[in-house]
Formats: sequence, structure tokens, C-alpha cells
Amino acid sequence: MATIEQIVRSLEPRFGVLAESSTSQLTVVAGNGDVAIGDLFLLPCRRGLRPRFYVFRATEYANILNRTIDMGDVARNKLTMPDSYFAEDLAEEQLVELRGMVLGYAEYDDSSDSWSFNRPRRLPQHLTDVYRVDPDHPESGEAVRELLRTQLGDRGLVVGHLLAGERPLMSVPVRLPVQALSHHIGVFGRTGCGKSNLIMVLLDGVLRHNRQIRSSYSECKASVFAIDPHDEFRTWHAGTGGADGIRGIVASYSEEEIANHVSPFFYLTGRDALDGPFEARVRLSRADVTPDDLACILDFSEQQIAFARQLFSRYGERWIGRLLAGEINNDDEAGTEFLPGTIAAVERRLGFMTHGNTRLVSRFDPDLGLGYESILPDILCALECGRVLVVDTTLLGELEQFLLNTVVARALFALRRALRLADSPTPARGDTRGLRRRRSEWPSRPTGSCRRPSGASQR
Amino acid sequence: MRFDIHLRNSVRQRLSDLSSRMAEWEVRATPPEDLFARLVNVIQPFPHTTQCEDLVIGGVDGSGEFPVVAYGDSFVYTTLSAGALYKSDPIHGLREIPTSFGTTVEFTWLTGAEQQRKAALLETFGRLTGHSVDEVIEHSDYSALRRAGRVSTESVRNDLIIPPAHDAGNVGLQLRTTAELASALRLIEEAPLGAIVLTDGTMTLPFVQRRRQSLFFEHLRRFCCVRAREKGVIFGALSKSHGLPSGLRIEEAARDKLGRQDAEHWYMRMPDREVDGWSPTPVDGPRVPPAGAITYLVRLHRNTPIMRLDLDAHYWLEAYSTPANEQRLFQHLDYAGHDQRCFGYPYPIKAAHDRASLSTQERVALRKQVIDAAVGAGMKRTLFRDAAQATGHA
Repeated sequence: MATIEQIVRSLEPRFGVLAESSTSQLTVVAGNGDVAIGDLFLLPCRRGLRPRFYVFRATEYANILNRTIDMGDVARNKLTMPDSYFAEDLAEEQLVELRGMVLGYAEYDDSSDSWSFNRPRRLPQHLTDVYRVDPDHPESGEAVRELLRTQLGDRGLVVGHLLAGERPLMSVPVRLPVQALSHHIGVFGRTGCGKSNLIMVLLDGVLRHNRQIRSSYSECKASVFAIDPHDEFRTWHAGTGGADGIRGIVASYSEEEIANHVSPFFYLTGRDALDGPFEARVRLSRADVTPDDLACILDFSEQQIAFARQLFSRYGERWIGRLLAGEINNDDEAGTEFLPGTIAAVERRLGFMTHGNTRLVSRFDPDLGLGYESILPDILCALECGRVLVVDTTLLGELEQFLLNTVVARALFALRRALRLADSPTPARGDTRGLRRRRSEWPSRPTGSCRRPSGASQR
Repeated sequence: MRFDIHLRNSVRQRLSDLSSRMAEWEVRATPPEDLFARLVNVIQPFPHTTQCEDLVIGGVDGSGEFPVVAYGDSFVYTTLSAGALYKSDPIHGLREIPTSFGTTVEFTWLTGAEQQRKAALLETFGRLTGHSVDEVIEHSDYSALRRAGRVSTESVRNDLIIPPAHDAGNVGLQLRTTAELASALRLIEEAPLGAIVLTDGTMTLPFVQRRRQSLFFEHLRRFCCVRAREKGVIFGALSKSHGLPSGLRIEEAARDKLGRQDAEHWYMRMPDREVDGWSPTPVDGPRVPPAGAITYLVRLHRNTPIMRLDLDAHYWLEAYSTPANEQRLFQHLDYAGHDQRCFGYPYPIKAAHDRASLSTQERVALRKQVIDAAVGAGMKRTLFRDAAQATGHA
């Protein structure tokens, strides 16, 4: 493992010197140079028993002069005095002051002969030399990778490369543990700051991850169900001559890889016209929807949800069809009587699922020959197998988008719960994978919603 | 000071009397009309100079902490000086030329013992200049200016004024001026033919009229003149204030001459009573020009005051006193004064000042450093207790 001296040599020349410092902010005085917010710096330090490197990112730059001269006076002179100049001194007169945050520090551990990264709980010593991480110099990238190894990890999803100023350090990939995908991740930012790009990188990372672990089986595959309200991840910037999206990535796969990582689809859409292979029409059935799903996306009073649950217990998967068909009779069986207003209110709330009003939810009534038309089992199986599914929701309404999310999540979590509760999870897992087979038990009419290219593997 | 002192009637009355006398003096110092006309006549304009080729100009300045530490009967003085040499440059205006020396830092330890004090001070002078005191005295033309006849170097050395260790004002003046001139001497030695080397101040020789006593820096100042003559370098002293009676109405004369309200870019050589037969300064006033020098007043820019430039008379009168050369010199000064950091003042002196000056924090740090070193050498820290601070005087 590289020593502190070896790493310093790979980072030379020195960029500046630490001036004021606190645990919240460091100030560095440096020579005049072309610098950018976000530049990354390393501060070698021997305060304490072990050698350390503090990692620090610039959040603010300012031009200063070496001596105590008011910059305003100099600027006024430049503006108002014709033919004035700024003499060039041998000693640097024009300096740069930068401020920034300590991201943490890497400490050398003799016993393991490695650097371990720690939170910024300590300070570098006074007047520490400061070295800039230059993306043009591979050595400095190598140094950063070594120092941040424990923080960035060497397994998991690649979500990009560490940014040093305006450019990434290509030798320092940043990884996200696969397990993190099951936690809550929020990506927030202003327009144009790169939220979609990050998601695209994440999707790409998941696809790469799934391909890589195919050979070793050392880790779990990862799945992403990506609601894409702007329909951008399928083709990304291909329309304007830029990089292609998931479509382009999938196109580069072999047949075997497609069978293992893509099939039956990677793209779901509300449009009937499909543009390419492994695309499918997104569709749920009324049979997929429970009263609790609707309670998640709509406001229901206690009476209304009780009424919906009573319908569900009475009619099962047909409950929505019965309600929307007006076939509810308060008196036909023993049960709670509900006010006509409550019934009407639930009918109104389910109005977005009436035939003709929705492109997502299909009718279900086997008695009338309306079979189960839903892609939900395929979605669940795909997500269980490790897939990236991009769902174009441009033609779906807000409630339909929320419903799709809710139903998929609820069904998936219910399956997961069942797996955990099962005495022998392996057969149970086999059962979930056989979910699609049970689909054939429902009477169904051919939908042709999932187009497959010739030669693609069949389920 | 008590807060109410400035409100007292007696104080206000004293101030009123004082200002009346000051105003009367102004009226008394006003020159007669014929003198004013003469002043108008000697003022010469020169053009604003934005292009300059082959100009090499250097500046020096010094500072210090006088004393940095005091204890018992002993005092430690710190002296700093710096010099910077520049060449005209079409892109940067001026571009610094490397020299073989940097900022000079010198510590001088003076005690109440006369022999120690004298030896220490002369040793400091030697270290600062890079020449022995005797060498400087021998090669300087100071004695010639005194017209005191042949005096041995040893005698001059023995008669050098060595202030008491506690006389911070005079010790500081000698150390600082010597350090400045020593830096100027080094610049002169390295500057090319025709270069200009400027110090901050004047070329005054305070004891030149005395028969015996003298100050070391007087000899050194003239030694610089001698070396500059030998090297073909223009050596001068530029003072930010002219030090002449304010009633001379020089600015008014310049306005009359140039026909502009904001008169700038002009110079005038100060008439010498002995050479020119007249002088605007009163007989009992300051001697301008000083012995061995000629003096110019110059206005480089309307935002900076009239400045005084002293030059070695010997070299100047023999080699450089043509009107064309005068014009050239002041055009060069004007060009060197166009840096945005000190517009209207030659930047090389400003650069030297910036390098030699000490901030308050630096002075405090220096004091701590000296005390820590002394304690490290075995002295007691209590020796260096600041008496003023301990007694509430600081």
C-alpha cells in the first residue's frame, strides 16, 4: 500500500497552504490558477499517531492579492486610469483563496497496511500543504481511489465517477451497495443539475451489475421499476444525436444476455403502437386492485373504505366491475347497510377506472367473457429475476401512475413477505416464479401487447 | 486621555491661538509676486508616458521593530529592508528582474555598555551593507562634501554617532536608513547601465555641516552615489512630501503654467541659492537641495501629491542635466507610476515597501519568536515581561 510520502509525490506540485480551519470550513491560500468550484484537494497530515490525508472539496473561490491592498482600489484604478497596468512580480502577487468542506480523512492502518476513510471529526495541522487532485494526472486519481477505497467500495452498482471540479476521475468509480436500492433514495435538485442523468447512470449501473454477477453469482441481481413520466430513459439523447438510452444498451446484448437480463421486456408504455423489441403495453386488470390500493392514492372516509372492503369481500376480484356496473344491492345479503351518498362517493372515486376513461386498467368479469388482462404477473416475475423496467407514463393520468406504482409495490412486498414467512423459502420462490404460469388459469383473450422479436427466447 | 479634555475652555483657547499662529505663518510664507513668476517660469511639463522601452528601474524600502524586545538595560532591534528591480514590458507594464538577494532581516542587540553597543551597531552596519564600516567611509565622498580637510578613517569611525540603546527613535532611524541604503547599494551593483534606483526619502545629510560627528548612513548614502556614478546608474531618493513651506503656492504656479485646473505631469528643479542666485525657500528654512544633491519637485498624477526627487548632483550635473534627459527621466518615473496598485507613484518602491513592511500581527509574532529563542537558550521568560502591559500602560 502506498505511503504518505509516495502519495504526496504523486500529487505534486503543491497547490496551496492551509490558512484558517475549523471542522466546518477550511480556508486555503493558493497561487493564481484556473480553478473551479467542486475541485478536490488532499491535505497530508501527521497530527496524531498515524499518517492521514484529509479530503476536502472547494465550495467557494476568491481572487486576492498577496499584500494588504484593497482590491476595490486596484479595480477603480484599472477602470479610471488610462493605460494603467499590473506589473508582474517574481513573487506571486495575485493569489486565490478558496473555502470548502472537509469530506473526511483517510488514516493509515499499520496492522492492515491500508487506508481507512473516516468522518470529518478531526482537523489537519496548521499551515498544512494542500494538493489538488488533477483529473489529467492518472496518479492523483489512483491516490484518491486508494484513500477512499473503504468509502467508495469495490462492489455494487457503479453510479458514476468521483467528480474533481468539472471533470470526473475515471479511475475512481463510485459504487452503491445493491442493498441500498431497497432503501429510500431521494434525488433532489434544480432544473438542469443532473437528476435524470443520475437516474440514467443508476439504470445503466444496474444493467452492468446484473451482467457482471451472472458469471460469479456472488451477489444478488438488482431490479428497478422506473416510472418515466417524460419517456426519456428508453432513447435518452439518441433523438438529438447523443447517447442512446436503455434501448441502445440492450441492443448491444447477446441473445443469451437478452434472455437472462432483458426478456420479456425492458420498456412498458401506455401507447398501443410499440416501436421495438422487448417493449410491451402496460396494463393492469381491475382484478389486481384492492380497496387498500385505492386508499393509498385517494382520500376515502372511514365509511367509504369500509364499503369498498365489504364489496371486495363479497365480490372478490370482480368488486370494481360490480360497483361501476351499478349492480350493488344493499339488501341482497346480510351486511352493513351503507348510505347512498357513501356508495356514490366510492363510485365517483373509482370513476377514473371506468371503461373508456383509462388506458391502464382493463375490465374483469369472467362471467361476461372479460378475462384477466394484466401485465402485473410479468412485471413481478421480471423484477424477481433482476430486470430494469422503464415505464413510459406519458399517456397515463396521475391517478393511473400512482395506482400502477402502488399495485406493483404492494404485490411485490406481499410476495416478499410470503417468502420470509415460508418454512422453506426456496420452493416458495419457485412458486413466485411460476406466478405467470397461473395466469393461464384465467380465461383470457389474446392481447398481443408484448411484442417479441423473432429469435428472442420464449418463456 | 480623559474624555472631557477636548471640551475644556482652556484647551479650546490654546487650540484657537495655535491655529491663528499657523494661519499667520501661511500669510508670511507667501512669496512675493516676482518669486511666484519665477516659480511659474521653472515649471516644465512632460507628456503622459504609456510606452517605454528598455527602462530598468528599482526601488528599495525598509522597516523594522525598534525595539522588538526590551529587558533590563538591553534592547533587541529588528530591521528589514527589501529591493526590487523591474524592466519595462509591453504586456505587464513592468516585469520584475531576478536579483541575487531577497528581503534583508537583521537583529541587533544593544546593551547599556558603550563598547558593546558601538561594536554591535557597527557589526550590524557591516552585515547590512556587505562592506566593512571602514570601507564605506573610505570610498564615500562624504568627507569631500564636508570640506573638513583630510580626516583619517579611524577618526571618522570613532566619531560616528552611536545613540544609547534605549534611544529607540535614533537607533531605529539609523538602522532603517542603513538597511534601505544597503539594499539600494546591492541593487546598484546588479542594475544595468542607465538603470534608475530609487529609495524612499531624501538625500539629506544632517551632519554634513559639522566638523567631526557624522552618521554612518550619511557616508553610506554618498557611497551609493559613488558606486552609482561608477556603474552609470541613476541613484535618487523620492519623497512623497516635498517638505517645503506650504505658502509657496507651487500648485497654483503649476496651474498658471499649464493652464489646467488639474495640473499634473510637470516638474521643476529647485533653484539653489548658491548656484542659481535665488531660492523659493527662506534663508532660515530647510536646506533644499541638500549638500551634494539636486532637488526636483514633480507631480506625476493629479491624485498624488507633489513629490520631491533628490539626485546626486555630481553625476547629474556632469552627465545628465540636459532638458532632454530631464524629460526622459520624468517620463520614466511617470511610466513606472502607472501600476494599478499605486497609480501616480513609482511601483518598484511600493513593491519594496510591501515586502519589507511588518503587520501588527507579524510584529507580535516576531517578538514571541525572539523571546522563545532566548528562553530556549536558557534565559528566564520573566525577564521579558512587558512592563507597560503589566502596569496597565499598554
